[in-house]
Amino acid sequence: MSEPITWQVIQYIKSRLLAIDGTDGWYTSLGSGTVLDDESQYDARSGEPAAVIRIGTVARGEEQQGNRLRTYSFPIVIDYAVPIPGATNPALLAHRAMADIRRALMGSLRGAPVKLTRIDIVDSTVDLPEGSNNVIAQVNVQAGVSETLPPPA
Amino acid sequence: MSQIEFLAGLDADIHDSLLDAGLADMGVYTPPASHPGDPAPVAVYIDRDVQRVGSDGQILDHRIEVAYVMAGVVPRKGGTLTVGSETFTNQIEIENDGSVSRWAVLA
Repeated sequence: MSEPITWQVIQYIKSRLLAIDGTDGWYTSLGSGTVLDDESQYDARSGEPAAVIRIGTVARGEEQQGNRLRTYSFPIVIDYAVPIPGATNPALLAHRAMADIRRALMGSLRGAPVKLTRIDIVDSTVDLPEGSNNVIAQVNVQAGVSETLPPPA
Repeated sequence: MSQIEFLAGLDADIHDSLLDAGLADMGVYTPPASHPGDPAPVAVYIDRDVQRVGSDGQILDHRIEVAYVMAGVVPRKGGTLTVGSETFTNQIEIENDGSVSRWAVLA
């Protein structure tokens, strides 16, 4: 049996973020770093980029086809920490990180391994924490999925 | 003696005592290009900590603050402090009572 569809969506987004490898038009190279999909902590003092993906409250949509086909939508928050050392302009670096995440999540969903009906980028921000060696880009996403439930035993 | 002169003398004395005890440092402050000047010795305290960044705090990062005892030195954004083999760059001034100036710095 496959994993829950919400987890599959997180894994899909994780795979998209890991494609950010600093080549082919990407500004940054998250793919060389770490993407967290759980509640663990990451020590960014290592100097590597890191991202965190978290899911919010899952809202159930309309039920169709005798309750077997269901739709859901839920918010996803992506935090991306990019090391500053070597950057001449940390604010610009933060904007680049934000742009990379937005780009990673755009495009056709046909290749997605789950029935994603939409990924909407709701908003995005940048942050430069005082005394931090990282800049933070945050992107808020709304995901929609459809799921066909197996018939009851 | 004015209040600021008394405070400066007190802070210098306290730093001398803590330096002897190994709880403070002497470094070299280099002004930024925007305020050119010669490197100068400076009395400092360095506080090292971690901070949790990101919206849920799952990413741990440095947080280093430097308190300059300002006798003869006016720390500015972009100025650098060298202590031993480490160099810190002033990012944001957090406090300044006229005698001690505390900065968030980048390592």
